[in-house]
Amino acid sequence: MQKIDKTQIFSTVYKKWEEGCGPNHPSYNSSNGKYYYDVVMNLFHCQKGVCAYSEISLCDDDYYQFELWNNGKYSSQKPEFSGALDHFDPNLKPTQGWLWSNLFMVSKDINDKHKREKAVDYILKPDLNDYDPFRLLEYDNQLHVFIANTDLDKVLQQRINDMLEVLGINLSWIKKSRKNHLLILNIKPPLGDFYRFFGNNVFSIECKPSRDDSADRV
Amino acid sequence: MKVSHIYIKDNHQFKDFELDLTYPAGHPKAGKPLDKVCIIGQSGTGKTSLLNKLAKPAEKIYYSEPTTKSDQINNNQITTPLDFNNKNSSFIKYVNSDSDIRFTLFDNGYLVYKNGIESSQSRYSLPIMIDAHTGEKDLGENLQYWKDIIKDIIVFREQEIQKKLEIAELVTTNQELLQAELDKFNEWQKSRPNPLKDLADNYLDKLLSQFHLRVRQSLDFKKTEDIKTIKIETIEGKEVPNNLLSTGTKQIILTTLPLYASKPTKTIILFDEPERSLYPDIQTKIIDFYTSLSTDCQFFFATHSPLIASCFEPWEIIELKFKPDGSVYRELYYDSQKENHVDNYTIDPRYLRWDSILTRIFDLDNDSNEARTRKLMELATLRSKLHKANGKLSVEEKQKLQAQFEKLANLLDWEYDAEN
Repeated sequence: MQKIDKTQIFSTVYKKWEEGCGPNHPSYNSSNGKYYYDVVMNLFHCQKGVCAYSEISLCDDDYYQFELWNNGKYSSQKPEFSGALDHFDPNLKPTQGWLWSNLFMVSKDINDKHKREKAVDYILKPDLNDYDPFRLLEYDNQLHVFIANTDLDKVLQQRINDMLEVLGINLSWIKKSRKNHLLILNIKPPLGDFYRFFGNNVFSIECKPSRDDSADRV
Repeated sequence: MKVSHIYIKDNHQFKDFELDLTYPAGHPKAGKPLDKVCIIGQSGTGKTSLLNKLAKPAEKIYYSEPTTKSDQINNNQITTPLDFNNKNSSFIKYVNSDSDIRFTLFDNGYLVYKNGIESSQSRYSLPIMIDAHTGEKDLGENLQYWKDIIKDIIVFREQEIQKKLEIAELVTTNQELLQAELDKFNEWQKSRPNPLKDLADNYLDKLLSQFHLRVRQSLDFKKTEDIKTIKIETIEGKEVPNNLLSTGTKQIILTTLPLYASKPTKTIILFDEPERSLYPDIQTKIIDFYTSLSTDCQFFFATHSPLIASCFEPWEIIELKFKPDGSVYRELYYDSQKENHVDNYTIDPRYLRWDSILTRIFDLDNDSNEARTRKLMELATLRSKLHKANGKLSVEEKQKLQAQFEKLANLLDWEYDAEN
């Protein structure tokens, strides 16, 4: 789960409105919301087009280029994407349904069927300053699951592993998709590798050297 | 008689619902009605309802000659009652005027055999084993089949006993005629096939052998009732009392009886939940078993079993799904923008693993539950610790960790690559 920088706001009209709402937002109506596409497409820009949690590809980058914003509003009429707008902390949804910092674009099945109203631990909130996937997560190259870095203390590991479950990052269909994605990219991360972002397509791989060596080729 | 097309205008969850039941282009039987159909779908989508609708044409059937393809669908005029003996009648149309349900049927029809539909009382009945004097009420709609089979067996056995008694008498009275009578007896056996042997060898024993059972063929006459029923024995020859037969065994016998008794030809045969009470390995064989017991019939199976579904070609599967408004549609296994051609199918249940059938056809989101996912994470954690153990853990501690890892890997049935 990549670290997400949400400071680059193109949907400034929405952001100004959101800040003006104060502690009590108008009720959240999903896609009927006036600023729905402004939020969704700005999030896709920040998330590089992938699900904030599972990194399953959800939107082609053609649809979230800066040029598509006009006077602080997303201007493309029919952006194509899959996924759903997720309220990271479900407790904030009733009163602050449009809070920018609590919103992420995620796989629809994770949002609708898996995460739903489960309680969250902010230790894996991907836009927080102190969230560092390279320090917190490890990837198993055979089981294709993310786990807490086993060098961390046990309590922290437990919290991280609990949150990996809440966010659906190791659901079987996501594992399968991740495994296939790596096969297509011809990448086999070494055992004990830290988290890395494998990107939305072959040309945007960002790899941080693992502790042992660089990525193996298979 | 086979159904090649169904159209339901508006009947409960079926709204403007249409099914093409022919083989796709590129298939050796392209354009001909499907030999077997597997109906799957969530409870309430109408699997059994479809079977029931299919059962009706046999009760009240009419035919008309088609003029155009659209006429096959749109002409709802009832013409002449079906003449089963009319060899020229190649097209038969059934119209249910109440709900506007239309079936396009081919070839002359005989009978429709219903199993398990609207007769839950008889689903687990014991037709073959129940004494005819006490068990008639449990036989349900299979009673006539049972009576016919038993009558045939009793007649055969009476003749067999009579002839054997005659031979036995000659042993003590007339040795000269004995050989001649024995030769006549052998000739009689050849000319009069033993119905029990036919039932055993060509029908029931094909599957009963999977349960280590078979039909007792030897004459076992201690009391009158012995020749009035069919006995089941172990492969070693030990009789299994009827009340000790498993539900699955009874199910096999119950469903095989009508096929044996009626020897169906050109018949529509309907089965609701053929997997009932059967272990997975038998489920993978049951479709071939049933279809082998008939000639040129069309089978409709409604099932919840992925193992049953794996026995069908993709175009033979009718997967019913709900639309947002509660009506149902058929999920296609090829891109609807493309031609219905065998090469355009993207799912084929015959080639999938069992777990893939569950996820890709039966729409299970995950191939396992969340408990397994958590255990896989535990396994990955142990693997990581082992990987990092050098210099950190003693030999004993590392061995202990390795044992934990192997035990959990075994529990998860996960084959790990020790080289990685």
